[in-house]
Amino acid sequence: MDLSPTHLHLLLNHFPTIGFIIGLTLYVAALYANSDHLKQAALVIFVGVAIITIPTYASGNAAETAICVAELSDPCADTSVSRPLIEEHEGAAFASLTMMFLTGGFAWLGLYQYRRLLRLPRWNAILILVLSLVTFATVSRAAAIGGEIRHPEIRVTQIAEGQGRPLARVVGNFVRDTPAAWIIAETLHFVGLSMIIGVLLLINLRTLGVLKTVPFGALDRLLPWAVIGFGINAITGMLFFAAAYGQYVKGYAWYCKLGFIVAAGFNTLYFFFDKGWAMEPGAPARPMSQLVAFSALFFWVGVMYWGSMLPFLGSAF
Amino acid sequence: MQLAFQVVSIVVLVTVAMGVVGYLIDRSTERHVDRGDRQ
Repeated sequence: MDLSPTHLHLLLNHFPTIGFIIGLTLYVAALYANSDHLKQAALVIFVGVAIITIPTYASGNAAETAICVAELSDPCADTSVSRPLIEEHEGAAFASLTMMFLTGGFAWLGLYQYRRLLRLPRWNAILILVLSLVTFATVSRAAAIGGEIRHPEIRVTQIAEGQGRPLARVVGNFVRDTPAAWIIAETLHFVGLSMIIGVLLLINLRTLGVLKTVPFGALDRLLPWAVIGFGINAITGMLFFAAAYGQYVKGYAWYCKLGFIVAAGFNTLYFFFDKGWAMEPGAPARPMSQLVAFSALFFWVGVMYWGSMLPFLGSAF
Repeated sequence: MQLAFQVVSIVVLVTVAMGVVGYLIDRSTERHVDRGDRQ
């Protein structure tokens, strides 16, 4: 069986909905039971689902180009498929992806606070609860509209051609038509990349045995800067994609980059449960920590490689 | 010239905002051991 981006979207779109419900239920139960272990498990699910939502969103546009090959300004050749409904779904997904980034970002901060402060501050616990409830609402809307695309029997959303102004198209068209927007996003994308790679090189090389005299705790304090860089790159990446998704979904380099981003994201989560951070200067890391550190470098080099190959391997830049 | 000004000013603004967020996270998650205190 050939696995197409449409298959990928149908497979992945369950994670932001069902996966997020599991995380939210667990989080509410953890708050009720006041269990730190359950809270940490829920935060990991929030971060994990946020990471998986990136390829879920991107594969959606690939699925669109597969079922509706007409020009963007034209209706789909298959009259059972509504282009405005697809774009409405895309807009709802764009909003839910934005909320997912916010929830995932503060959930990551919560995990970091657990390691640094040994507790989750009340303000962040409440903020994560509010954000996760809003995220759940936006994801549910995106999922409901997505289901209507291929199921006319449950279709309640009615949008005539030229009537809708879905969020992703408004933002994407603004970036596409504003010369400064793309240049600004591109510049910030490289600033974010420098922050990620700079910090992760230091942390992972230390884990592998370089800079042994530097205590882990000192490098640990740099980690939020890498995550801020990741946030900037996720946002600017979304802007590029919304502006010109057609040039991404046609090339396999884009899917390779997405795969490496997901792998690198999950790889980073491992270190929240690794005791290596408490080690004194000069002490070597455990073999498992070293293996994960090596794979982190491999995955991030992969993200950079496939990112820089986008214009050259089967794409249309 | 106007394009360059727009790009530079917004990039600087976002970079400063990132710096403020990073600084606030760093300060709010600072532990005694980071300051060299031994309490």
